[in-house]
Amino acid sequence: MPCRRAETGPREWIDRGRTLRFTFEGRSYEGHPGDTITSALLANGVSLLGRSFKYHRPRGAFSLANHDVNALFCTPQDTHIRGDVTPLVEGMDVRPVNVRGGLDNDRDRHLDRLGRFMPVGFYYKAFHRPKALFPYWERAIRKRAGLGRVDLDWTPDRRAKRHAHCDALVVGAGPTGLTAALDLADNGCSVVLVDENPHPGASFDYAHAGDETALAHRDALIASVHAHPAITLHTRAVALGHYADHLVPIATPDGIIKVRARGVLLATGVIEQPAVFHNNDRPGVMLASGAQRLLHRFGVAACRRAIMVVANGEGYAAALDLHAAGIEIAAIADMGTPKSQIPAARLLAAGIPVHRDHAVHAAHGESAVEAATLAPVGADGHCDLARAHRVPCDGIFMSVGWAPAGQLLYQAGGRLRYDDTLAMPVPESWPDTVVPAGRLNGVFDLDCQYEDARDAAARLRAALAGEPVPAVADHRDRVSHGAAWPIVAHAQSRNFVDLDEDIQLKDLEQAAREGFDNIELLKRFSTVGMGPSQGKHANQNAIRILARIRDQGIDATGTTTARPMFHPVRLEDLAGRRLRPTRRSPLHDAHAELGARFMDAGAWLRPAWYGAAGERAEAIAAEVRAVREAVGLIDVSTLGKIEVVGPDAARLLEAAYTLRAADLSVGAGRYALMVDESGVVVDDGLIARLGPEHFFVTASSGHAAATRRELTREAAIGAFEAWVVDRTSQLGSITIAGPRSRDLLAPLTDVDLDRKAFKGGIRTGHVCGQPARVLRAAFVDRVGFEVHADVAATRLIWARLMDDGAALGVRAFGVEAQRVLRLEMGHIIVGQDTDGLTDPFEAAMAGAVHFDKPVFIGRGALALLAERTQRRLVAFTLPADADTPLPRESHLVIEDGEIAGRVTSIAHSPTLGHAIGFAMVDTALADSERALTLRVDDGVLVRATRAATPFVARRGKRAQPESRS
Amino acid sequence: MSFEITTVTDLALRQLVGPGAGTALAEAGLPRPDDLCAAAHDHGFVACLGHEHYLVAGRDIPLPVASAPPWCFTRSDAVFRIPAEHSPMLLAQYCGHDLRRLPEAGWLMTRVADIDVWLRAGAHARNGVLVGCDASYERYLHDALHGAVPTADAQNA
Repeated sequence: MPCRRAETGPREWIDRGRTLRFTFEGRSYEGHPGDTITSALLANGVSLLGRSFKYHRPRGAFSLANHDVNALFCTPQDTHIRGDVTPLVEGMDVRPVNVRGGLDNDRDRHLDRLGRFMPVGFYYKAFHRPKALFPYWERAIRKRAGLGRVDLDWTPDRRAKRHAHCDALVVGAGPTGLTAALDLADNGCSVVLVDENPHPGASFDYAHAGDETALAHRDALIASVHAHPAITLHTRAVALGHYADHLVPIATPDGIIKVRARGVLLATGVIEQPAVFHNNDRPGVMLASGAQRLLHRFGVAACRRAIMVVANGEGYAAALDLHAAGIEIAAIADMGTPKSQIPAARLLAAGIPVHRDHAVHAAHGESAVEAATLAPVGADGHCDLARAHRVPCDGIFMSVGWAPAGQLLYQAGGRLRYDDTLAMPVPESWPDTVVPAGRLNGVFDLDCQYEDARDAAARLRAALAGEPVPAVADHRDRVSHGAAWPIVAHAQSRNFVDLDEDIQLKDLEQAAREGFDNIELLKRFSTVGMGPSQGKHANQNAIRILARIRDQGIDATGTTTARPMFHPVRLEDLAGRRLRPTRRSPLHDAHAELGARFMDAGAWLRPAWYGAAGERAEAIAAEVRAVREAVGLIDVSTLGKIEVVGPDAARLLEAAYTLRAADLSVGAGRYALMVDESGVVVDDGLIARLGPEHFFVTASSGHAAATRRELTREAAIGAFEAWVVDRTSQLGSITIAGPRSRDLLAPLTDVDLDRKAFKGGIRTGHVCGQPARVLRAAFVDRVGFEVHADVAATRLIWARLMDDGAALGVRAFGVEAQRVLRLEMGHIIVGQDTDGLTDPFEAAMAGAVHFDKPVFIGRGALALLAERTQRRLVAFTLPADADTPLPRESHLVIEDGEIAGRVTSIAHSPTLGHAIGFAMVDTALADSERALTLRVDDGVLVRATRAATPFVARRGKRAQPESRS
Repeated sequence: MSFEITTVTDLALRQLVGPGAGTALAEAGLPRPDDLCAAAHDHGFVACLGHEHYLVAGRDIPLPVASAPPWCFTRSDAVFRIPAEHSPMLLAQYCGHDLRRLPEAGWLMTRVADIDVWLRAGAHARNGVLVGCDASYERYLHDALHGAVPTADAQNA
């Protein structure tokens, strides 16, 4: 049973002077600041920490390094809490996941006995016959699936992301990383050093805890790092992945730092790998390094009497280390450590028996380890059970090999190959500016790690300086650090390769027999390596197993792709700050004072209507009436406003738009239609000529930036000597509309507004004494003007118009009223009445296409489309006394039971007293003049009468098809 | 807050564009910087935005009118001033550029907080760094910059 040692370790992470209280499964416990949830539970003698995913087998601490998820917890507020690395907090209410009725009496623990009915991949084969039962199985599985429950009332705690730059990013603050960081910084590099642990030191703190020389050097390195002005150290910082141009996001408790480095030095170390034997998942079975972490960081002895299974010098060092701390090492099963790595004399002095060429055949105990069976083992993993013997113990520690923590190296384009001597993959090639070092690079001796760090730093510095990169100096060990086959067969199986997914040796063998004998297929069929640990403790053995089945080498068997993130990342951190760029018109404050109800119109905030919250319909109707009967003002500052200037300005506009522009005289204007190369309508507006080489172009609010880009692109393609200047936000714009609009504006401007003098186009002059441009506008009413001025002037003009207009009944109107008004006028909105396929002929814009121009964007496509119109926009009305709900945009038009179109615009017209709208329908229906049948919610059919536009009566000649948005 | 971000309201901005723009600068006694660079003058600076395309900052500068080439248009950009020593840390909250490399009197057009901006480092550290953006984003950028000050403060601590 685990327990907290009385002696304080020299470099413990815990503060024994203070106590934290927490509960686990409703029972109260104590821990210390610096404890993790796992260490605190183990210190209290709690060794049963979880239940496995599929079979609900009892699970305990394993790596203490975030390389497994045996200790996965939840609280009332959160789930997927990794106990090994989550700090204990006062008052924490910790609960297990994946259990029903508590850990000890989990009602699903009996699934372990039903394992024969749940072979690998059984879910692909079961449950779908008989088909009628599938919904039952689906509900049952969904109910049991997942680990923990999400609190749907959870309030996100967004943590802002930020950027950082450096010459060199060093990942890992152990012996190699600390040394490399100092070398780089001493030689002029700005360095960011990151480590996922709360403190720098890494393997110094557990693997070398008994080496005073090493620890003194550790302390000196850390002090130097802290004092160095060129090194920024981040702890509790996980390098999540490597992206292009050395972008490495680092997850910290304060949010993600997007580090952009000129070069990266990877000192990420190695991940200890488990031995595979019967019941190797029992609580009490741990990685040796995990037991050392537990001891030296948290002062907790993982057990009282341990068996060790080893295959390297690290295992023996761990045995002596744990023995010195008071843990009885009952025996060591050695699976093939090189003799030079065995400290025979010290073992003899400690009285620790060693069994060479032995393995652990089985662990015994129901909910925790109680004994282990040791037996001689052959190279094929089969034990000589005739010579097996059983040893009582409450812990089994494994040190049988390592896998490189090489995920970032893979992502950066590095390649690894399997080294038979070291019995692990090692880097084979890598980019000059992403350099591996230390144990990641197969260097285990401590002094060699320092040298390897300095050499790696020198290579990186040379690469950053653009100098020839020195050849790689080989500091790798020449002795084995792991067992080539740490896998022991057992007649009853339950020898786990992947603890996350409950994958046993036989599961992988079965999968290969079924034909999934490629590493990618094996992974996806068996799910090995697909659990929360992402194969950190499973992939290497899985590859070994498949290699043996295929009778080929490890390299030939291959590996799966290591993708970001290295560890899971909270959604709050990925989301970061909520950046929602919002644009405001220069009249925003004025609208707020008038009681505007704002709406999002793309990035813009625009007044939807003005009035109290519950009076939307009444307010909109009143605004419409004001425009029809008197005068209204709308802020159209969001309109795109583009100056096109230069000797080739006219040629540019001729090329970019479907209509003629070059023949405009100064002061004249024309409706402007833009299509893309396939003839699809993308934007519309107005082109007005201000001078021989000066045009003023308007674009729709939502497409202004794109129109500017398109004009700029076209200018570059055509090598036009023309400049495109976006003035959308530099000028404010106000539309004055309604029968009294001339009465309102005329006294305030020196522009002649007489209807004969100013039929259309643009005038420059003054409004309210401010320089301004005035255009004729007929989008919402047949009488209207648009005033453009700089932002300060626009505010003055608006205020004056509102003041002077009071006597005329002026009313500000918003976007909602604007939509109704333009619909009454029979005007379309690009992007609402047109979609991603609409060409001008479908939208009643044929007159806007000037085929007499030899060249313009989309001309070729339009020439074909002109004869192939398949649908057309038509107008309709609904009776005033209709008792069905008002149809909405995108409700379908039905003809003879088939879809024949859809509604594009619809609104109740206050002016007419009934609903009006547009629909895009098949040509046959459009040509027929037949009534439309609209299918609304719940399949109800509504009859709509065909109509002509404009819907409202108007005087005079019909204007060009006009649209604005 | 350990440092203040101020809104600059007295930096008169104009956009000079078209044939003869460079000549007009010279005739007004203003510098003519290289592409995508800026140069200081007694009352402000001139930045080159492209071929015969300049942003001119400063009051009382005789430049052509807007009706003939080169064309001169007023600009209403929102402009903020950040103390020079705090600007890299503050802007690192929102900008992926390595702003430690922005030299004194440097010019950069980039994105901050997901919008297009221009940055102008003062000729001297005391002048701070100017951040300019489209006028319609003034409130958004003001709130974003001020909202990031506590985080930048904490990182500097």
